[in-house]
Amino acid sequence: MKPLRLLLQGLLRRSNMERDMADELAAHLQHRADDLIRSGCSPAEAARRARLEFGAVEGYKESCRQARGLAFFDELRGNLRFTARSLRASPGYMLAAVLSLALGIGANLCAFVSVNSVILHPFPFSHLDRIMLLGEGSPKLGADRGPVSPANFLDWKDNNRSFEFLSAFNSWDALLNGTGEPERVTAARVSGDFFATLAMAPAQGRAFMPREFEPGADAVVLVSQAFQKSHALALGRTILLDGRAHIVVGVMPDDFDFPLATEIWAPLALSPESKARRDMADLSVLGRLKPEVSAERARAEMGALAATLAKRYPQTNEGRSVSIVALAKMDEITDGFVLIVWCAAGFVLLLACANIGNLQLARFTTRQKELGLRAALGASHLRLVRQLLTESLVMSAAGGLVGLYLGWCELVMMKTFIPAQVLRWVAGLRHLEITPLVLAFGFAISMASGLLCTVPSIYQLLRRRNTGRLGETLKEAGRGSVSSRTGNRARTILVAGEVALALVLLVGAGLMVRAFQRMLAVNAGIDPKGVLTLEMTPSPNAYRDAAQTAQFYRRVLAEMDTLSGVQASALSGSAAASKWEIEGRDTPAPGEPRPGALAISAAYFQTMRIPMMEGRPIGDRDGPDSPGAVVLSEGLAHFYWRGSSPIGQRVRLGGPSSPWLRVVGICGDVRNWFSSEAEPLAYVSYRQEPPPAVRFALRTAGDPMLSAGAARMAIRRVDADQAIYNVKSMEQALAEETSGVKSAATVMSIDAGIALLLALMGAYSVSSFFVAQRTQEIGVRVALGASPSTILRMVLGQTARISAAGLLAGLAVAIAMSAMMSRVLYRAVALEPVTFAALTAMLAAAAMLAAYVPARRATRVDPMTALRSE
Amino acid sequence: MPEHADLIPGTLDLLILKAVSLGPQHGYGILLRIGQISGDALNIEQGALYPALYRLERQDLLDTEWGVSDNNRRAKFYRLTPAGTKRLKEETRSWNRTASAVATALAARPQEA
Repeated sequence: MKPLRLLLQGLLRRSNMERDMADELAAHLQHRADDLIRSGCSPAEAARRARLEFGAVEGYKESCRQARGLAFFDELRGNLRFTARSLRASPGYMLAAVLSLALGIGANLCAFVSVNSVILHPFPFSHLDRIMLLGEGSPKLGADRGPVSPANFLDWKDNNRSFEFLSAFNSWDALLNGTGEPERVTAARVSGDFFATLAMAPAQGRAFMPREFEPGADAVVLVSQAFQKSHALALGRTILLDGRAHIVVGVMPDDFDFPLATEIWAPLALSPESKARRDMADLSVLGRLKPEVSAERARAEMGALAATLAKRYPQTNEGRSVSIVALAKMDEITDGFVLIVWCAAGFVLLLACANIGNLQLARFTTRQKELGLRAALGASHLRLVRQLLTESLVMSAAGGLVGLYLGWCELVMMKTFIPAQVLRWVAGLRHLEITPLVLAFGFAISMASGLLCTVPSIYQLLRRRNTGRLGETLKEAGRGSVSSRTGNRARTILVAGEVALALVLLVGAGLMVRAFQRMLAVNAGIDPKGVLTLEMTPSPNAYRDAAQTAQFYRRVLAEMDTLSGVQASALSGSAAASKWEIEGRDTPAPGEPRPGALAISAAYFQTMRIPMMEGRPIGDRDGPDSPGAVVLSEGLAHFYWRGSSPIGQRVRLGGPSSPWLRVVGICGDVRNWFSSEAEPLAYVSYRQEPPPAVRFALRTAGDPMLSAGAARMAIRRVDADQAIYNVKSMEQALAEETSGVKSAATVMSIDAGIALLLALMGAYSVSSFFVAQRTQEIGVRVALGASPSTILRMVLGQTARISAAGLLAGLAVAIAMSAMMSRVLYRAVALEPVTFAALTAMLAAAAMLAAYVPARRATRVDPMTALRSE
Repeated sequence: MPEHADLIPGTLDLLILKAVSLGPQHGYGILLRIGQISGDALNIEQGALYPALYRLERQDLLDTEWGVSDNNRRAKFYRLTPAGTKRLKEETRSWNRTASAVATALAARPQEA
């Protein structure tokens, strides 16, 4: 484009263009002079007349520059020069403004990095918006996102028209031998279209071949890049998984992390028998929608398909539905936390803008003389607006740069606080990085906040123009006292807004801290202090039946009891609990509590310090040959037996073929750390129902981690080929689980602290401005006999009124926000009225304190000086 | 000395385009040529020519190149671009329409009853 080229030439090679223009005009004068000489003039006279006829050379040059579109840039250059000068002249203002902006922008950048990674790009898949997780729901059981049976999956796959690809996978905790210590690895078995669904392929080696999905031919694996590195695996190597040799055929790219934390992928080879099963659901189903199909349409189609299947196989499929959820929207709770933190950061930035807007208004007032002078000299109002904008944007650019640095620091700090375990299990958290999108966001909010800060000043400026008073400000400023009502109102509103925002942030942080405290609360039903836990899954190849497995557990427990420093040791593991039935009663209605089952050893209650309420605990006598025994949690027992005692009653945790269990005791409730609700639980004996995976717990006298080595050795002494994992203290486990809430609480507390600081600055500046503006009036009052306390009351009263308005507005927003946070935190969180009142009072007191300094100054006004200051 | 008419606003661009359409010319030459083809009837201030030239160049109607004039002096020559040629045609047509309409209007006489 030629105009653009000319503009660029004009800008970049300014001197060239100037020379060109000068040459051209000189040539014109020479030509004219030549003509004049030819008509008889003397050379000197000719040159003089040529110049005369031409007109004002410099004026025409300026017009030429304008014709090129350069005027805007000339003005910009001037504005920038002026800005630099005027900001240098008031470094305090500059520092305050840049710092508050930087704090706000830094907080926002850091929060947006999380939003970007966790919500916008949790997975690197190119068709992420079309990738759906499908589950089978059973309204009867009150579950809506359950696993899918193989036969149903195959019917879905063959009969749907909504999905481009439909694939299945299930997780597999595999025991890895032969590469050093035995180890448990997180693996997944995946069906043929799994990688096609996600549009991912191995980075090295090859993908699975169709024949490898047949039973017997499926001893091949793909490994993650991290796994390959840590185990120094070459392609073609053989590794032992659950005792079977598998060949490594490929390595997945580093950013491929699905299902989350998977290290090894193997083909899902279904035998003809399992392909026909509808009564055993153990598959997760993943699909990619066709581009033109919406999730809604897919839901309708799959719903109809489920209905057809239910009619055809009523015994297994009656009442079953299909749930379809976008993969990216799976982790709603994490998303909620991220959004809340982002919201808080947004509020901080708004507060910073309000604060700077306020500072600018103050500056605007002191600059009236300068602006008036410029207006009087012919600067258009737009030109003055542009000058204000330039100043603001220079400031916000500086704030943005410092903010970028602060945000980066915060990010680095945040990353070091995320436990490795959490990093593995939250999609996208691994990739917390400053991407171009984050930079673009940072740039956008810097500019936007720069503009926002200037709005009050521009409003003032234009108002003055409309009332025709800009010229007068010159005179006004000369007298230096008459206050502008609208300026004061704008400042008042801004400070009230700051107080409101600060209150919202304080309450938000308070709620988050409260939620965190609740999660750490000691009344979780167990006492985690001093408890070491180790997990293991005995390989089914080594321990083929229940008796062998139970025997193994028994021997390990016996070894652990001999360890010094261990006060008690026990094991627990999930047991099957597909149903819940009380002898002689109807099956419970949907919505009534159904317990999970935990198989435990005798000392479990003692080790965890779960109190027995009634009856006896599960004991050594509850062996495989004695009648089935069960201990129920208090809440569950209370729900079904109300006042009476369930001891001696019989219950069943499975179908008709499973044995009746006699209730022998009632124990205290254990609360879920996140929701802090009591979980209904049925405890059975591990010897009657040996779980496939267990967690050993050891109560120790001192630091539980000191016993970790000895505990490992105890297991090794029984069987050195089994993998031991998740060795940690219970307190550490709890810290990992609550780390998300903790970091949210920390960040929001920091935000609230910044907010408090900014609001104080606002209150201080508005109050000191108020005093400065009314020095004369105060002088008159003092001269007429007003006491210092009257003056103090007058100044503080103004701040009190502003704060009260702000607190009232903040209260409304804070209430709305606690409702939103309660949703994310799963359960209502509320601040006790006392805490709420304390926060409000603290903010009010702080604002008054900030106002007190200028107020004191007001009381010391000497009436004579004040009156003479006119 | 002929009587000078003041330029109707907006016509300077048209005259420049016309003058340049007769052959590439430098600024002073354009001025002379306008004087020549208008019978020296128009009053153009010499300096005012240049902002107009820069504007037309920016609109991509004129192209420039440094060259040597008849006087053997270095000068910047202006030439019509294809867009310039097209614009000249359009502007000429529209000018003629306006002029003849105005002429017709001015030629009207009071109708006799």
